[in-house]
Amino acid sequence: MAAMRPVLDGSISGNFDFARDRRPFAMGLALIVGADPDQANVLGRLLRREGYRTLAVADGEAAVGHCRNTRPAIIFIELGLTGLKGFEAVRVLKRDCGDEETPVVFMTQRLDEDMLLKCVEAGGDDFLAEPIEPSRLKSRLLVLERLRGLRSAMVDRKRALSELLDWEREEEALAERVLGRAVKNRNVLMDRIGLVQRPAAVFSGDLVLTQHLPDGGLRVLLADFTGHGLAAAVGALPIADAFHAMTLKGVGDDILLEEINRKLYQLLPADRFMAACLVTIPVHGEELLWWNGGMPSGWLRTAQGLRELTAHALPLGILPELPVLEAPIRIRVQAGDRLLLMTDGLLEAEDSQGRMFWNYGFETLLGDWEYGGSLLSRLFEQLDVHCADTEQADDIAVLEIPFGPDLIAASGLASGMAAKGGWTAPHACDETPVSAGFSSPLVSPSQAEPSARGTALIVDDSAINRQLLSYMLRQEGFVTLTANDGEEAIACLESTRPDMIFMDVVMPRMNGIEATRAIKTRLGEDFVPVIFLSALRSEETMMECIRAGGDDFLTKPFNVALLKARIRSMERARDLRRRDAAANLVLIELLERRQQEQLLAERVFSRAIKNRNVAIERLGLIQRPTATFNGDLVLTQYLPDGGLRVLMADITGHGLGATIGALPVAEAFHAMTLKGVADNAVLAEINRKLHLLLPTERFMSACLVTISRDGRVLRWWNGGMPSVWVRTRRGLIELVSHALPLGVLPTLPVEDKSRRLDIELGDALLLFTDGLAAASDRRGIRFGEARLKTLLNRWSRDRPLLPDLESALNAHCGDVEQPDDIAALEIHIEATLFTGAPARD
Amino acid sequence: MSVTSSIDKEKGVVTIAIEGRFDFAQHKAFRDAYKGIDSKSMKFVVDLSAASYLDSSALGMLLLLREFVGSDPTRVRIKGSGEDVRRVLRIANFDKLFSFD
Repeated sequence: MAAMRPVLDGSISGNFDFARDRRPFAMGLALIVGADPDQANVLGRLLRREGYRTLAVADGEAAVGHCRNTRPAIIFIELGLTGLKGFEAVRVLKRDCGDEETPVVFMTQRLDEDMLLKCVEAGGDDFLAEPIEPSRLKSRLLVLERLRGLRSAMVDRKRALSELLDWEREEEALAERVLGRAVKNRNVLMDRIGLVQRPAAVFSGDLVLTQHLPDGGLRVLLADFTGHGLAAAVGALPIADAFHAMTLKGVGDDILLEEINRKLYQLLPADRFMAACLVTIPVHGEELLWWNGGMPSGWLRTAQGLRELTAHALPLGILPELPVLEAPIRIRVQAGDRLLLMTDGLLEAEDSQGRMFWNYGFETLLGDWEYGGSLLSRLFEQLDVHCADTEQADDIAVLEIPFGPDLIAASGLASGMAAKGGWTAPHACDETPVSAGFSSPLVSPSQAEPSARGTALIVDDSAINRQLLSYMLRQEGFVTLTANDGEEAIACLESTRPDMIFMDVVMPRMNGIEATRAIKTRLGEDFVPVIFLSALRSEETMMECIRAGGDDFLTKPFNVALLKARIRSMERARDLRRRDAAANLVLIELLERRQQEQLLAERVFSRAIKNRNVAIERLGLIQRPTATFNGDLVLTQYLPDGGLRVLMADITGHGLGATIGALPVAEAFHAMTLKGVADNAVLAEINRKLHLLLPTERFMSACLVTISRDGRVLRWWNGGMPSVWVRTRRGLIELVSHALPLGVLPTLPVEDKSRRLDIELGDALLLFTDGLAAASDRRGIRFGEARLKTLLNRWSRDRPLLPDLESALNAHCGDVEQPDDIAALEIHIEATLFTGAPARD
Repeated sequence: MSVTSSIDKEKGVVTIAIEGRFDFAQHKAFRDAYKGIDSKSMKFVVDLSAASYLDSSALGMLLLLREFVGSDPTRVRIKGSGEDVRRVLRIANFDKLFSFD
């Protein structure tokens, strides 16, 4: 069901496609700050001709007040203001209004170096000498508008990336909740076993499971998946299921381990596995069965001393079958003994200097462990001292099992151990904050140390010009490189990346415009400002330079003070842009890592779901997910009497959170159907599970159909799905939604029972999710119920409908991205449908 | 797209009106519309007469409001839904959970 996933547009290239809109006011508001009304009038008129709306205010205070409410597109400000001085006002505007994107142009009568540098330092981007020349103003506007366009494109991208990340995080939080509940709900005796868990990410790769054996014994599993992302957490679900079900049945350790190994081998890719410790304590409590595959040693504190229980087996999921020699080991224990189990995240927990807990603290602590006492709370006190604020890379889980009659007696009184031990609740670590580095103060002018300002590339065919500029730039703290023409400049980029480029326009072999175009294309999102220096003054030349990717334009012969100030302002623009690009890179990497983890989780997940389906090849099925994870679910299974049961469902949302909810549903569906449990009981159980697992606002619409072995009776139930259509000899029958979706109420209303319809061989069913009718074309017109009905009316006995449906859908939607998952299922009631089904009773 | 709420203190009724698309984008505004109101003394009317579209997250928001009033079907009334909106509510069988005009 629809719940939008934010969509990301293409990337920002160095070549900003520059177009001007000169319709009245199209360029936005230009704020003019100055005491001289005549001057403001002249400037205002010029700006309006260029497509700006203008507003003039007399002083800095008024300007600041205005900018607190709205953001102008550009600000012109007089230096010699009364009250708040010009650059004071700009400093306040840039700092307090959080607006670094709006270009600020100072208007001044003096272009002396000190004054100009002060303006740049305050946050100014450009200067206009008074009185203002219209042609100069026009050219400066071009440069500034382009700069602003680049900046806002970057900011927009950052916003889009953050939105996408937020969405993913929300889905993950939900998935975590579902997984956590599904795994932890079934654990027993957690009040008597000491446990501390500290996951390094939303999803922990550490798994703790406990369950009673039928004879009253206890079994504990502590495991650690490679990786600690989502895939690990998803893999935990089938393991938890096998562990609980087999332990409750009293299955032996070796068979349980064999089964978990088999599942993992099947679900995980070759480079992933699960290290695990399995401890089984028989009801008499005088021994334990120990199995350790790839986990750190367990430590058993007995009256005689400390005993190390090393790993003697391979981790699970690596080989298709477990080696025979790696069987569980029998170890004698007595009341009062304690066993400490841990994941390697504890031993490898680092302090600020990268020293591991293993060597610094842990061994001493073990040596001081008094018989009969709990080590856990002291262990974590020490760990906190060791790690302090250092962020840990791996999940930490530690388990302490106190042996004695209390542990085994399932109905015994609480031992009070939990209270004394001071066991703490799991404590979630936040992920690396992404926002770090997003805000930094405006770049202050750097000292004129050699090379402090990076490398400048000077491209000019005149040796004198190169020398002059080179000298000036070295004085300013640049290292300089020179090139005679465009081709040489491009060759220069092979070995170095300059921090700024000064470009002549007219040169032999390759001119500055061509060279700039090539350079900007090559650099892509890596921003290196190109400043054109030319004797040419025409607007067309300037436009061409800017279109090619030039970032500024100065006419020769240049005013040295002005050039220096421009360089400063361009450096600031460059650093701002690089900072944004770096921040975006962090976001992109985070997203990519998540997507990779999701792909893996999806693989684990779909194998767990789809592996158990039956007769899928004899059903027509279309599935089009909108994200890696799909909210639509199709399950099929035979009943013991040979009948076929099908569930089509749609969980709200279509991200990870939606999909994870499907796992427990699939478990219940398959297990209960295989046992021959009736429709209403299966629905009641799925409803109960979902109500427990999902938050209030999420639910699952579903259709359950059960077809009898002879193909003559259809039992159907529709809770919140679009109508199911049955094509019979007598015509179409519509099975309208008559029940609430699953997971809304704690128990299903009594009237929401499944219903009966008599059918016969040769009839057919069509089930689909609401994404089908909602599929839209470019103009947003839905595929709709009417188109579906037309197709349904043409549905004949000798021809499947799905191929026609699919081509109609393609014809309607084209390649438009759809907001919702689409699934459609066609079932022909034929004898072959039951091939492979259990024989009739 | 907007969510507006008005309170009739005399009748003890809070009316939350949704205009345009009712989807996840309205989540915060919808919750804000009833947050802080005494759920025991007031009744709620969700006015969908100006809503053009409803998605599953909108259904989820209605479920949250239902939970807020203690799951009493007489305390939340949904009124004035158009053809498209009604279809979504009908398929979900939400008449079992809310009163409709």
